Amino acid sequence: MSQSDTLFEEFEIQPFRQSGTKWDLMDCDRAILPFPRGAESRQSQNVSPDWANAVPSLIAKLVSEIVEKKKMELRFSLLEITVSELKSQFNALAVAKTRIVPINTFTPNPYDLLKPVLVSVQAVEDEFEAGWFDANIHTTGENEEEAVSNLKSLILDYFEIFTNEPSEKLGIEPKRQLAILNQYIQKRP
Amino acid sequence: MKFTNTQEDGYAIKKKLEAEVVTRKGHDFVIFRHLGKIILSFGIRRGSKELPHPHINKQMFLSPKDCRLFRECHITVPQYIEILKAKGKIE
Repeated sequence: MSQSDTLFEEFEIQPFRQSGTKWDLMDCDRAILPFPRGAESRQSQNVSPDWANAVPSLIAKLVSEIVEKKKMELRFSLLEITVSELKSQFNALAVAKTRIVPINTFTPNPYDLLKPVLVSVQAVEDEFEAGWFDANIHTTGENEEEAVSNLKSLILDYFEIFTNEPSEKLGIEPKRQLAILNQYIQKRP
Repeated sequence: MKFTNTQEDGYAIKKKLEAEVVTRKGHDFVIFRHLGKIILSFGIRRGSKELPHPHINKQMFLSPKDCRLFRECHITVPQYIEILKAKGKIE
């Protein structure tokens, strides 16, 4: 045991808190009055005559420990805030249940898919909405699979109906939609 | 306040637009023409229970609130056509 530890034991720390109450780091900031325990009777026996020389190092040690505790407290607060933010972001994603799903085939329909179509699927009330934003084609279904299946069926309807319509009868949006559909879909000969 | 459309709203909008319907397996394909040209279209899922159709306003180029106003007759068809012109969806 070091000399400073021995000295530390000699001092009585004032009872700042009642037993059973929560420890507060702020307690560390309060003044600690070093009243020697039984000083008068034991001074001659246990207390080193050069105890006063050890006081500065004891105070320095105490200050250093308080600073470390404060740093830890700050780190924990920052971590708590970060975890709370991540939790709310995770909850928002879980509630929306948004996923990007590729459509890779129109089988058994007689259409070839030239490249995969990425569609979004998200929960809407008790149902799911599937959408192809580029082509502005959306629909819903009771579950994710049905929503995507309905969307595939609707995409082919758009393709078929717009393809069979004379070009001059298509407005700005249908022309744009058909141009996008033509990049992805081809009817089998 | 929620403005999610249902299939009932879809049919009310179709009626108001005097749009044509192409019946397909599981859904109806609504086509709105103006001066003979197809301007927009959307699908309506058929079903006995109330089905959310949150996509209708997107395909009508309206916010959910404006779509509700259109469906409730606070926005007339001529006004809607003016909105589409302003958005560059009608030449």
